[in-house]
Amino acid sequence: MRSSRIVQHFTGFTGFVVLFVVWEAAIAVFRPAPVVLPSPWHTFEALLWIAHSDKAWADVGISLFRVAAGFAVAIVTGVPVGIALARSAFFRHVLAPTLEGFRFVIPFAWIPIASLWFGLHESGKVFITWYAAFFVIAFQTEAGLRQVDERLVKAAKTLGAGSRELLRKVYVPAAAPMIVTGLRLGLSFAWISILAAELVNAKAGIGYFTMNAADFFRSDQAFAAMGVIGAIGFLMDRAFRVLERRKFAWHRTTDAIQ
Amino acid sequence: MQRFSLGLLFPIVVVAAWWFVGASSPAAHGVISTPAEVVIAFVRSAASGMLWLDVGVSLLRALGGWAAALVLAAPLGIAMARIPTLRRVIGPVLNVLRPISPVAWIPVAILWFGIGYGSKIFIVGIISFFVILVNAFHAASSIDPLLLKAVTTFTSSRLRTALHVVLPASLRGVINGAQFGLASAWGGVIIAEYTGANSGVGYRMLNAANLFLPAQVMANMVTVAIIGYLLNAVFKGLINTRVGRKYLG
Amino acid sequence: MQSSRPIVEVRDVGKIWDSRAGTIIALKSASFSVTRGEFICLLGPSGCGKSTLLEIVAGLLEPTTGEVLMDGERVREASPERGMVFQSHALFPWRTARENVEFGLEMRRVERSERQRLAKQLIALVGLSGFEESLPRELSGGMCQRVAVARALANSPKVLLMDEPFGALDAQTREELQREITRIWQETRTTIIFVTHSVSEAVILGDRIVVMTGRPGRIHSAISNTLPRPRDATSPEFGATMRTVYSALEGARRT
Repeated sequence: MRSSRIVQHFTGFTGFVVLFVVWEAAIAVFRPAPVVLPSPWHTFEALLWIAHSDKAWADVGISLFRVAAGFAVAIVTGVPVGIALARSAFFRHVLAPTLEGFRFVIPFAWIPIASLWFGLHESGKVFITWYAAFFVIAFQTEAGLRQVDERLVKAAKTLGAGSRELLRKVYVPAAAPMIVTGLRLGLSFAWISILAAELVNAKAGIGYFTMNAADFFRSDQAFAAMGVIGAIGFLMDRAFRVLERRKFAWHRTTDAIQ
Repeated sequence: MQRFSLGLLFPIVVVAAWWFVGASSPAAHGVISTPAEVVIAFVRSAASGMLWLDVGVSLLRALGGWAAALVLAAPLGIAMARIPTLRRVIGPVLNVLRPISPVAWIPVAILWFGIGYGSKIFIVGIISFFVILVNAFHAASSIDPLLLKAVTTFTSSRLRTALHVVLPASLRGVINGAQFGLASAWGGVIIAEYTGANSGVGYRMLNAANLFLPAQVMANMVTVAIIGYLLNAVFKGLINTRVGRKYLG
Repeated sequence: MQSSRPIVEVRDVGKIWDSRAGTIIALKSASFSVTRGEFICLLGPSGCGKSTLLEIVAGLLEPTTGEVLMDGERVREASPERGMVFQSHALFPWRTARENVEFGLEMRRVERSERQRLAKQLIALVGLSGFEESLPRELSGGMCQRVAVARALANSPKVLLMDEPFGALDAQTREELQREITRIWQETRTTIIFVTHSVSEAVILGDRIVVMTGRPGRIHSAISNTLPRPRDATSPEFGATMRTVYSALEGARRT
């Protein structure tokens, strides 16, 4: 399907072109002050500046580190919880109501209390990213395991599989597509949450950088940073989708809502 | 009944442990407070009216942004699904803007609109916009082609087709999008109120955190959860009564 | 004649499901036995409990009453000795045809090169050489069922249990696979218990046809089928046998 790949890149490129055209047109028509809406060219210059700035790279790195750490802990905690929820009715009855309840306490709501508890310490940020990713990973893992076709399990039993082997060689591979979707969503939630946390209470990170730029009326830098943020989020999502497409070619995914 | 009580087991244990630790250790108390004090803080702010004022302000911003987004995104999503030219022109631009998290727009929003209602409504609007757009687009583009073919035996007017087939078929998707968008809107207004605000639930929460008042912060967190739940419940309730029965079956 | 003891004995098997909607008697006092190397068909209308009975023989379900003996020993759980082929092939979608066939061998800790050799052999036996590396979703329904048969045979089962395996296939493929399974049976001499609701299929395949009826599920009679193979569905003898079976079914329905 190479032609569709080319079409995809083409539409992305077209998007930028149209965006710039509309952008320049808006400036020409409304004549906003540069501080309000910088020109595409100034934004691009700011982007280059960011690319050459060690401090900016450090900021991006810190944000990514915070996401990675929380995400990793979320996988290590979320997948086992999901497995437990799927396999044990008792566990499910005890824990599920509480976990469902936390669905309404969004990660954003934890930011103030986390800043009270952890101050500026990194663990506060990692807590937020962990929280953002944990629930979706646990629930997707559970859902993935529960939708495993019982007939596959029966077939495996008649082929001599014991319960250990059933889990490893039937349940996990069958649930893997949904679990990985959970990972993809968890990562994107973690990314969004860290940005939010850095706007509020941080001295470093790309979110902080953006806020700082706006505070100093450097809107060109702020817009450039937004571009970087968008690009990173996009690449994270893409990376997972490529992984999903390659490793789960056997699974008929209806990947409708992109 | 047994299942219900099992589900309460965990929260009860946690709350009990919390109470114990918070009450027995002054150091811990300053950080996590006790459940009792959270309840007191909640009741106090309700009694003094501050709770209602904050919730009212936040709700106004959230619903305002959400409604604006709905009015823009739903028709646009449906139109983009059915008019290829539109999709080819606007689609790529939106696809470039979509990965930029609405949270990242907050600093610019403050730059543009200051710390009043405007910036909050703007952020909420962006969040809801994309959610609703994607859902409306998806719904409108998955209409059964057989259905559309059948309609051509009745009328060749595209407007009529749109009115009688496209709109009703897309309605479910639009409503789903509106529901998700509402939840996102509530979350969005909270985060928007953390930075550059002087009113609203989010502002109140951050303020309390900066003043080292954990009980107040947690009381507000409970408020956020409750309002979020209520918004969702009310929306689903409204859908299920009149509109739902009549149009969605 | 090797041993006069039947390889599978179903003794007075009953199955009762208790649900909130009430008690359902899926099976009542079902008894029959199968001799080694026999191709036996369980025939009955939908809902007569034949699939339930098969799963009990497999060891996937426990009977409420009665027991199933295999080689004199009571069946308690599923085992590769009782290989099974399902109506929906139930192939592992993430494994290629070869990897599916190898599954049972992996469970028995057969080492890799030996596994691959055996798998290739079995795939050739079911007539799918060249398709070893295909995923199930790249194969047609008929091909998937062949892989399912190969997968079950990989463990050299004493009995092969087949639950309406060709039910979801189109008529042409079904006839082809009926010929194929007959050939495989003749080559391997595995004992086969085959469930079907199609009279013609039962007469094409079975040495003996056990007629069942439903609500509650029970065994009505067993009809011997001595037509020589290969069987011609258009011959008058075939028609006569079918008539016999039909009347047995009618009789079963009325009781």
